[in-house]
Amino acid sequence: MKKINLNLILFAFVMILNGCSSTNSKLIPTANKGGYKVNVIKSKSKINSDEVVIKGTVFDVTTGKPISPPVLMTIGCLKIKISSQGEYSYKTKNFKDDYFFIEVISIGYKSIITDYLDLTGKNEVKIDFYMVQDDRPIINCELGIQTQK
Amino acid sequence: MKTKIKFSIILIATLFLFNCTSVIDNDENVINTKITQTDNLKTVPLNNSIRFLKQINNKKLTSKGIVSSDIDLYIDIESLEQVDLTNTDAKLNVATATTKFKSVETEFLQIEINGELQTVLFHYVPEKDITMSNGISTKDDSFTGSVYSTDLDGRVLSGFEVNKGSVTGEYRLPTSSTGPIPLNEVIIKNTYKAQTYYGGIYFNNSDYTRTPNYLNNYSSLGVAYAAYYKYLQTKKINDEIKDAKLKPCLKKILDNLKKTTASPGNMVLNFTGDWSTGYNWTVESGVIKESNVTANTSPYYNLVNGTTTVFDSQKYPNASELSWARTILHESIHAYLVTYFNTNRPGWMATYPQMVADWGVKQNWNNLHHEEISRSLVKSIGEALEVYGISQGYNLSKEFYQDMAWGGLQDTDAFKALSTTEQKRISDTLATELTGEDLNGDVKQQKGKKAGC
Repeated sequence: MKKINLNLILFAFVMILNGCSSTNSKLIPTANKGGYKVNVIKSKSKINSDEVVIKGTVFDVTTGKPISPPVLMTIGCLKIKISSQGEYSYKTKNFKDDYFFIEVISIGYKSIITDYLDLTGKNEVKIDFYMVQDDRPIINCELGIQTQK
Repeated sequence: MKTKIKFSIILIATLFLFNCTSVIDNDENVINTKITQTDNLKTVPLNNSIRFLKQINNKKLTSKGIVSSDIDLYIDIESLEQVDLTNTDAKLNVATATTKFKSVETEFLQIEINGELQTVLFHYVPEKDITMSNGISTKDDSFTGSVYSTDLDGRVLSGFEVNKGSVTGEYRLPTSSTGPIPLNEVIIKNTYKAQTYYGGIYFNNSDYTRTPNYLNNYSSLGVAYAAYYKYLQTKKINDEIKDAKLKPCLKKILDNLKKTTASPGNMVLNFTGDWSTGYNWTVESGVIKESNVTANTSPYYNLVNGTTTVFDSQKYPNASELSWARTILHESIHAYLVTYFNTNRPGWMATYPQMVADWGVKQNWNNLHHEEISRSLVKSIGEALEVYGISQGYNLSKEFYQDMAWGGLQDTDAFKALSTTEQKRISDTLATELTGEDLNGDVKQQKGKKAGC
């Protein structure tokens, strides 16, 4: 009986560990060390089935804290408002669109442009952005920028 | 049963250990660090000032006997009062005074700054010779003339130009081997009304001024103490520049810059008027891989090292000291912009709204900084370089210094908006001071001495 209980507990440990790693969605990398995470919260709901809400937060990837404004988020021709806590929310149709992507710009950070996102049939999607500080040094080009000979 | 409970406890404890939340460590390079200003002002008790004043009137605290400086000072002890200042709980002790200059109104001021008793005299000199102008009291809002602060012996510490009650500039008072200029010479000979530099009001008049209105009769009082405070902050900034890893040839130039009003400390405080910028600069020599790049400044800032600039002097061994002084001044502005952004982002955004807007397009600090410098700060670089040049004994034109100020800015919109002739002249000047040759490769005489790097 003791042996069974111990095995059960060990099994539970293993399940918990596996469970932790599966609920942690990984950072989708971008052209820099920042990235974004996509979590589908709801899909194929009967209510407002042709709409999808995209929401999330813009974080500093190093500190883990939301980025202070100004943060510029662009989807198509629309600039999305970001709150002082780095949060945003945007509603659109969930029809098929091969070229849907989001661009996030913030002063002092390297910009993020997502891959094309497939929102077909989804009703609520959480996309969190993790931005990395721009570490490129400010350089003093003597004689201006020269053309390679 | 006991065993079951024991294992349950272990299970629960393990759940807490292996929680599913990913932990992100806080980086010590924290942005948005706000450095708050310390109020180092303290009220001097009235009794202390009274004792002090009695000693002055008994001539125990001035160096009577130095005839040229003796201004025959007498302070009206009964007029002593304590006045409120803005932005501080400390009060200023003020008394009216007379000197041998009949038409000059004088005040005695006393306060404690950084634990030290600071005493200064204020002298209001109307614009049109030394008689009252239009019968208007010199303390009126419409006062136009000069205000000089002196020590008790009448040696001038600072001088300001005032136009209708507002400070419009500070006099650049030449130093002499005998020390500060006596007030005698300023008022009687009027030989030291030097050109104002930087122009305009370049520090916040409302700091440390008497309530309720910064344009009232004590505004220049606040300005003088602001000037003293600024001096302390300037010195602090300059002294704290970490330059242990800088090559001696560049350190020499930096040290010479620090002795003038072209020092990084002065530049920073003139730009912001904000003495709590936390400007902290590390400068070092190094090798920079990119060709034609003589310096780079990191956009990172931390409380220990501030921001770091690397200078690569080996790239241009024929560069003149004026060329390197220009580069150091240019980089000190990058360091200032980096520091300002990292320590006071709202202030930075309010001061440089165009930079905020530009980030949406340019998305990199390099372009952003250079465009802003070319827009609003290039004139200051030229003026600072001129101050440095004069201090080193050069007698060169303003045009030369202003041309030099465009160094590192040739790819900006502002530079490209100059005429082709101007661009060529500027580029040739920069190339000559950097290499000893103009852009065509013709050998040219450099204006500056070789830096020896």
